[in-house]
Amino acid sequence: MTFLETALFVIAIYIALVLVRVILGPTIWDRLLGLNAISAKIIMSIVIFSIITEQPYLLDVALVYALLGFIGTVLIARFIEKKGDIS
Amino acid sequence: MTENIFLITLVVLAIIALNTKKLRRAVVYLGVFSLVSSFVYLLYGAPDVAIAEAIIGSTITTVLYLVALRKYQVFSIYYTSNVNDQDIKRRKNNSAFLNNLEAFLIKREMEPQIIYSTNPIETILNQENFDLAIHHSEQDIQVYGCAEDYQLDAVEEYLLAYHGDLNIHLIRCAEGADNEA
Amino acid sequence: MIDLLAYLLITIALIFMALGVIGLFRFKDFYSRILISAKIETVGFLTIMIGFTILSGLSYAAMKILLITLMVMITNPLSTHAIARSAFLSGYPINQEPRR
Repeated sequence: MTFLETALFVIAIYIALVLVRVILGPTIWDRLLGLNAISAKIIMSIVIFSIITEQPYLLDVALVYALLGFIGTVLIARFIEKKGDIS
Repeated sequence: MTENIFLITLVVLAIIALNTKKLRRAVVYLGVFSLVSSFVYLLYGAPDVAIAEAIIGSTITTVLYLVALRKYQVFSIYYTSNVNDQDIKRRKNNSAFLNNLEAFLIKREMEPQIIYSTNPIETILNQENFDLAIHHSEQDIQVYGCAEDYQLDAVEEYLLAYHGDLNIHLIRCAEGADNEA
Repeated sequence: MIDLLAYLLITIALIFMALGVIGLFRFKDFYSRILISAKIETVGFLTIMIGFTILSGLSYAAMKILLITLMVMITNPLSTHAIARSAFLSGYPINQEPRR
């Protein structure tokens, strides 16, 4: 295992640990917090993977994620806040 | 090794998203599921599918599920009473209360489904999936609802405005109770 | 030599994120957890992305990584703020963490 593969492995373990918080989380906001943390970690993993395999075009996926994961989180948060009205 | 962690994560998330009782939690679980599955597509060498999964899975399906959740309409009401049914006046008053509540829910584009139960209220609170549980005793009416339900605020406002004379107590159960939102 | 600096930065970022994950479990209060997620995760992300930028040298990919970093630096605190605002407006109680 090279250094970067080890780093990818460690981030995978972090994702599994945050997933425990998503599953256990007493309220829906804890789950949303876990979703947010996992989305940041997935972006890191995509960047590491693109450096390991030397395929720079994979970075586009990370760019799309950085923009769209945000929209999903904010939509769910506003949906819960307004008790069901999306506007 | 890394792939195995992501694949196990996917299986766990799929099982939990299927088994959860609250639909909003299932939306969050499916969001995480689509995030992780997108990275798994990338691991197996399909970046184009990963981009499609990122756009469709994490944004469009989330919006669609939330809109569908907002339109989720069946509203089940459990009704129990330990009032003696001989009291004609009270019974009439009672049914008027239920009819008004039903009309109010229909006006808010929901489908009320009233279930008259003979079980004691504790059994219903522990075992059934209810949106509202109404317990009618000698003096007052107790309305139990789930604290996370978005319709409950409107119901409370309505009940206090139109039936303030009936001694209504609205009790919100904790989130831990396994009620369907 | 410059690779060693990048590896050092990535290691520091991994330690930061480990602290963030521990904090996500250690604190019993939701607002403490959201503070950990907002601060530590963003700092860890910034550090690890600078490490990757150094590692990939002066190239087109490095600029893309910097662009991703800029995006996440803007959006991650915003989404955390949206979650905290949603929890506060929906009436999630603020508890004082007991002193120990």
